[in-house]
Amino acid sequence: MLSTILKKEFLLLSRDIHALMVLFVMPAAFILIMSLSLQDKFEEKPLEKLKLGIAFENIRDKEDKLGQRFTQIDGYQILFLNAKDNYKTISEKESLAAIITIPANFLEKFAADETLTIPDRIALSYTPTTPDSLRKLVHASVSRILAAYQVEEVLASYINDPKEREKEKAQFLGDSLLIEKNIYSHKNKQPTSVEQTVPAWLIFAMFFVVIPLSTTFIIEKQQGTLQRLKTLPTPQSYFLIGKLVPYIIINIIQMILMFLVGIFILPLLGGQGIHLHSNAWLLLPMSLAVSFAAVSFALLIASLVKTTEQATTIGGVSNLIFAAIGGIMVPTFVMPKVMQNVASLSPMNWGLEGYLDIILRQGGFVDILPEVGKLIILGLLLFALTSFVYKK
Amino acid sequence: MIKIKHIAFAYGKDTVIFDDFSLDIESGSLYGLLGPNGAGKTSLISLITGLNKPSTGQITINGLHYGENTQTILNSLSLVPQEYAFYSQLSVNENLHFFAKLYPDDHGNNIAAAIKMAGLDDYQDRKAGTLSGGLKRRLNLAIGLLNKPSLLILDEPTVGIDPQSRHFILEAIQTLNAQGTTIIYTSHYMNEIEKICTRVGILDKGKILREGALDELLTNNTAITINSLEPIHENALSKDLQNFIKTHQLNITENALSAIHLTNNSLNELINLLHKNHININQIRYGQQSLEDVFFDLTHTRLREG
Repeated sequence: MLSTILKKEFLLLSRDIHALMVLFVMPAAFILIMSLSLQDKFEEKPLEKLKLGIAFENIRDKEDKLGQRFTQIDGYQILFLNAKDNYKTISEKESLAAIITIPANFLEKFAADETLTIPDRIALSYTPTTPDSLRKLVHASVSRILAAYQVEEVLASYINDPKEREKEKAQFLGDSLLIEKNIYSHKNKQPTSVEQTVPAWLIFAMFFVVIPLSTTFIIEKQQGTLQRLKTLPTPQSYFLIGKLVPYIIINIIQMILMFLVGIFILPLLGGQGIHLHSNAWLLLPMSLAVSFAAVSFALLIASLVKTTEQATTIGGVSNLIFAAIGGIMVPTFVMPKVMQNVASLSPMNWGLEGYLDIILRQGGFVDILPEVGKLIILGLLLFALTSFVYKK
Repeated sequence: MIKIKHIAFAYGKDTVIFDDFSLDIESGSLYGLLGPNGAGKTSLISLITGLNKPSTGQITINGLHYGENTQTILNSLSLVPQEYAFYSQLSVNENLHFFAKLYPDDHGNNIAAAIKMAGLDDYQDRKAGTLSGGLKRRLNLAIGLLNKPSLLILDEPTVGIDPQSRHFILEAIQTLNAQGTTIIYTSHYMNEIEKICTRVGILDKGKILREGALDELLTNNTAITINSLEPIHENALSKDLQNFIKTHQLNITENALSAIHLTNNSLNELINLLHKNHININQIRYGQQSLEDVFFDLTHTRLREG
């Protein structure tokens, strides 16, 4: 009996070309357009390197063993200057973080371990607006070059093995004593345009089942078919399940197709593709949860309204509001804190965060469980309400 | 046998439809249910088919009550709604197969008989939405026959169709009734009710105003009707004529006067009075009132106006 109802729903849906367009073509088009349009805006731009000016009073020092190290300071873009240049003009023009001036006698006196008078010392020149933190950074970089040189010289006097020397040097400079780590805060990791767009517009399309579902439901009501169905000795819950299951299957097909668009079609059009990981199977439970909430919502709207116009208006507008506040149209990471809090009220946002847990943050089932749980509870509530309205 | 005993039913708190309503419909009858819009016909059908439940009273169908016997009752009855209650995107065959399989005992075997009864043999693969109005009505009826119901409820089954299809459907209904199916039939077409129904109930404002065998109903209303060429306005008539109308319980409708019975002398007196009032007689008709007249007398509403 249930299979007959399911078959009928599939037949009706397969013959509704407009519904198929809304459910499959619309999200695919959105994904392609939005991913390609926003690609540059989402791309993480590498931090521009700080510019340092280097001026050797004695130009030949540039070729010196120590002098060379100043020309290759790691992490900076080096601009060679003439010691007689106008520092004010050039630092403003080139936006220099600092200008390092190597006096003519510095290298010689440093190598000889002589005491350096102030004029012989390396001058670090900053503009008045250079922040203190940046000054300390430049200072530390230059000091490290000098310290490393001195350590190497000392070590060379009593260790012959270069590997051993490197090891000792790392110990002296603290390199082997430190380890750098990221503070892992996966919620703050930003998606690329495709990582945002594919799940976002997929969820939007999944919730859009409200249009075709309510249309068939309302036609059944208006044409007396529902009245006839209710006088049949068929468990009435079958008719609701008969609507729920086909649209959940439709949603799963949407999910597969939209991810295929993200994986294969977008790169063909010059966009970034989406990369799935070994946790990709989690897309299924996540999609089932989103779908259950979306179809239950659609069923409730369909059972409450009387005309397709009402269904289109109420269903369409509520979907747009869910999408607008839920991070579908505007990603939550660009929203102010207040709006991010508002976003967390939208079931579409729960779905989006769940998908981002999977594809962006490479989370496991435990990570998506809060979102899956919220969506299933919402779906159950909506379905129970629908059953109540349907029986009345 | 359908027994409706002292039922009450209301939509919400204020809209009372039935209050202490009772009606019996014999098994095997072809029962015409008449009433203007808002009389309670649809509500009565929804109660008989179990779509709604009475707040008090009882409905039994062939001795069975809703509740413990709902499934058995629903298996044995069928409702053919006024609307085209099927899926227009599915073919005739797909619709019939869908509805047939919704019964616990797959009624797929009855599809052929339903198609034959509704004369849909040549249209089985046609999409239901592309059928003519008459064929849609036939499909609507065919779906109602799939469970071979012992009680068939037809709500305006001939609305908006051509005379041939109407004739076809009425014949099919009579055949089904002759085969033992109890039929409740509502229609705005009085001539249809007069033609096929064996019993009639006239319902208005949640009450049965008159109920009985059709012949009985019409015989009890033997009448004389005088039609005039002009409209008759009671207030404009002479005192004598007004008194005559009152004494002889005449009924005035637009341009007609009717009475259950008049002696020849009284009729002559009436003709003279009409003449004095300058009312030109067009026709004098003796005999049974039509069902429509009976209906009008009881409800003061023309069914078409409903």
